[in-house]
Amino acid sequence: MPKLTVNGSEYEVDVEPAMPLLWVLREELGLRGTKFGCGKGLCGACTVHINGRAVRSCILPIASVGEAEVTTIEGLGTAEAPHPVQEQWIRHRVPQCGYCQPGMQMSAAAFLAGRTSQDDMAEGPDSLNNRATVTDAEVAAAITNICRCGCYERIRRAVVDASKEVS
Amino acid sequence: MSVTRRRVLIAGAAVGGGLAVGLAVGLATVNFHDRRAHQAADLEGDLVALWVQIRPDSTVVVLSPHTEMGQGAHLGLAQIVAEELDIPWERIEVRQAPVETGFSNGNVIQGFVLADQKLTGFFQRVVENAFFLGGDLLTMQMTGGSTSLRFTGWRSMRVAAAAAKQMLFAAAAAELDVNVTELVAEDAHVVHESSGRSLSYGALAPIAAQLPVPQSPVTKDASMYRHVGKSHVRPDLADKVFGTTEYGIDRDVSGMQFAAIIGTQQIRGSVVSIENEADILAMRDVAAVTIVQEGVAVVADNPWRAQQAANAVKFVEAPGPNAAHDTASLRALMEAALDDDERMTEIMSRGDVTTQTGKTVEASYFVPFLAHAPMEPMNGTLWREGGRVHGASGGQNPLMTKNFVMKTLGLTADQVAFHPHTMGGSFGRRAAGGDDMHNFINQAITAWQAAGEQPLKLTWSREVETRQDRYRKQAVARYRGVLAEDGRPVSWQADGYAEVNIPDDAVTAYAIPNLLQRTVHEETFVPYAYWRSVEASIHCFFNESFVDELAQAAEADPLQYRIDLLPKGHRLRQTLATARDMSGWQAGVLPDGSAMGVAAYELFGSACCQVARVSIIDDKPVVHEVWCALDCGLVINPNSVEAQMQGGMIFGLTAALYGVIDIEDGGVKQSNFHDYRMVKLADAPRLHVKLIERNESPGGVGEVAVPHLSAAVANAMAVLGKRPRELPIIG
Ligand code: FES
Ligand code: FES
Repeated sequence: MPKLTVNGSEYEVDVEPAMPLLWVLREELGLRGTKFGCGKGLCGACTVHINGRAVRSCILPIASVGEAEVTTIEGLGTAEAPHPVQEQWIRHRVPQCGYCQPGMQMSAAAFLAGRTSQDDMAEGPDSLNNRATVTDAEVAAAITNICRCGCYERIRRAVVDASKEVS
Repeated sequence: MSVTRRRVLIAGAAVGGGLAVGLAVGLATVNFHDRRAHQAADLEGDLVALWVQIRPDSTVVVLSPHTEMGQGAHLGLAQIVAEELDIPWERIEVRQAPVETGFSNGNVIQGFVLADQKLTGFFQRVVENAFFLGGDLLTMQMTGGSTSLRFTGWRSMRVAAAAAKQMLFAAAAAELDVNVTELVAEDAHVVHESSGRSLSYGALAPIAAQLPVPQSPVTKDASMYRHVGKSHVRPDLADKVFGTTEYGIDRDVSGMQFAAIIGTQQIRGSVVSIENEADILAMRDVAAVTIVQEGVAVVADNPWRAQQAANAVKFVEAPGPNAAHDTASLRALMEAALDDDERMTEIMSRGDVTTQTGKTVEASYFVPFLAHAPMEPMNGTLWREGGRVHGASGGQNPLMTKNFVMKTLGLTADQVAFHPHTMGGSFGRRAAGGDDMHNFINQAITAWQAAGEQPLKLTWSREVETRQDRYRKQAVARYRGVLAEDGRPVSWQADGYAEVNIPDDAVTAYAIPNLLQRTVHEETFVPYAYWRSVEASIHCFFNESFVDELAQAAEADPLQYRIDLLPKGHRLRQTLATARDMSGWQAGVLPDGSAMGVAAYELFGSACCQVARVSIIDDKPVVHEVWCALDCGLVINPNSVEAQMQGGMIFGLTAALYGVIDIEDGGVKQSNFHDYRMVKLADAPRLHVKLIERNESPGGVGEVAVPHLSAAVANAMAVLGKRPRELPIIG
């Protein structure tokens, strides 16, 4: 039976290898914060982290997850200990219907984390302060999730502000 | 504000102690034509909604008949009630009203329509639909038409709360044996300042509950407001950030199975037979396969398995009567209708458009069918518990959905319980204006029965969502205008193939001496639903493009041209001037090769103007920045209003740039977000919103910002030499 590590806990699941991670999370593990929007990798509502990288779980067969660490919105932060992205999401009052927001925040968090570690390697710690704040264009290029309610203006501001903290 | 005799304020002891105040509406004197009068007479005396409850601990509960789809209605209702009761913000709580006829808001809507002749247009239409499509107002718990704050909140709950406060004060005056004028409200207490004595609202509530209910309570003066106009934080914010909001799709019932749909190719098609039933039933954990409305449902123990199996179903579809139809053939029918004067109905006529001479401008426009595409696809859950059938789903009209379940299963109201969920978007899709909008609930019921009435959740794939939606209509229009020597239009003729339920939303606001607007409209087989901003999404593009063409022909600044054409004192004038100032408006091509375009339109009691700055790159528009000036009357919550403007503009931009549902062989061509495209961050312009303060009653907000950008972007492109007259601009 495939083993799965989600938010630091190990699970065994008895499903077909082709079943996408999304449905394993939602229905086998009961982690329903991750959303279904399109099933084709087009909208990002199902975004989770695999070893820290943002992945669209609706098109990721469980067989290809293997030993990797999966993080979902339930593992990103809590009201008591919010992730910097979540702090900014609250400060900017981003959500409207809220349905896209778990995936949106997972994308934002992975983008900011990936950016910091890349800079680290490429330019050394000294450059971090200069490069800490992301630009609107970088955010737009990195986050391709759909928000039908149209919260983009606030998403952009929240990500830029979160970038100051994540670094 | 006084309450008319048809609407009576009522009060009583709340369950668990305390005071409950609400409205009762008697409809015995309905004067509409017979059918409605007859139905309304049956309703008399039954229409009670106790919305505002003051509890023994001095907290206040507001029971909202409106559901949340992201618009922040609950927040606004809470602010209005907290204001009128004069209580600290921490003391108020909003709950979803039970899905029972006692909390129908059709009564309120009807009461106001009858009592207040100013209410026309969309609202009237909603009420009529409730009668003609849905049966009666008792099954209506409608959120739509930007009505929540305007009608339930401002005109009903506010008055109920004012009455409650007056009763608490009367009770306190009697208890303290002082004159009521010596009392003030402070921290949910009634305080007698000179003696320092006070009583809490909670302690006063049971005494107040015995008092007569004032029918014309005095509402607070705007100068005293401390909650209204403040950006209180919406109560669902944290849940939505931490992913703990439970949408319909997240409903969990023990032992639940899952249904998925494979839809017919034809719109509203029907399945004759399933060819490989045994193969499907042999797939892993598949429990049932059955023909349902518009397709085949497969039930399995996991939604993905159910969808995989559904996708593998081979079925025979009945030949449809519309198989020969596509977008082009429907458009040809519309164009032919416009060629035929006989078929046209006048919706507005003044002066004489036939005798004017001068420079003539002619143009034709087209807008396509559109789907709603909420991020959360349609879904519904059914199970049995405690001797009743339970249903759960997100909906803009949960009471009508409950009624649909009752009707379909042949059950009575006490045999069905319905649990409304917060919606992952709706935009009209979940408005449930009639049985047709409940196709997904109907499918769920059939599948649930086929699978032995075990708990079941049906969830649509995005493909089914796109193809079994009900759509914003396709429309065409032809315009002819004549300019006087000074460039002002003396004549404006508009012929459209478009439904016009709201003449105010269709006819241009510009003061043109000779004007004729005609329409022809017949239903096509493509099913129709309200779509955020309803008909304004069509007419604003037509009218605001055409006036821009006139300005261009007159070689005038198109923004100033609009201001000059509006009657003195018209609300749109100020929105135009505000948008001009905030955008640093410039007519003509800007130094960087971009250009600005403008559109101004009034809808749902609010006036809005948007200016877009646009470049054309690789033949396509790139929208850099949008400035939005809004006059929505009294602003209840500025932050919420700004959010709705931002969201509305993106919704409108998606329609402008990408939105199209094509009909092909009698079915819908598009299927998912790759071909029904949405604006994303990369093409989302910077948005600037400015609210024009006006202490009048609140106008609508949720739909108001949607229609403008199609025209504003097209008008900017016209400056750059490429005026689009058909939507979508990119596709
Ligand atoms: S649900 Fe996975 S990308 Fe849309
Ligand atoms: S908040 Fe509704 S889809 Fe993004």
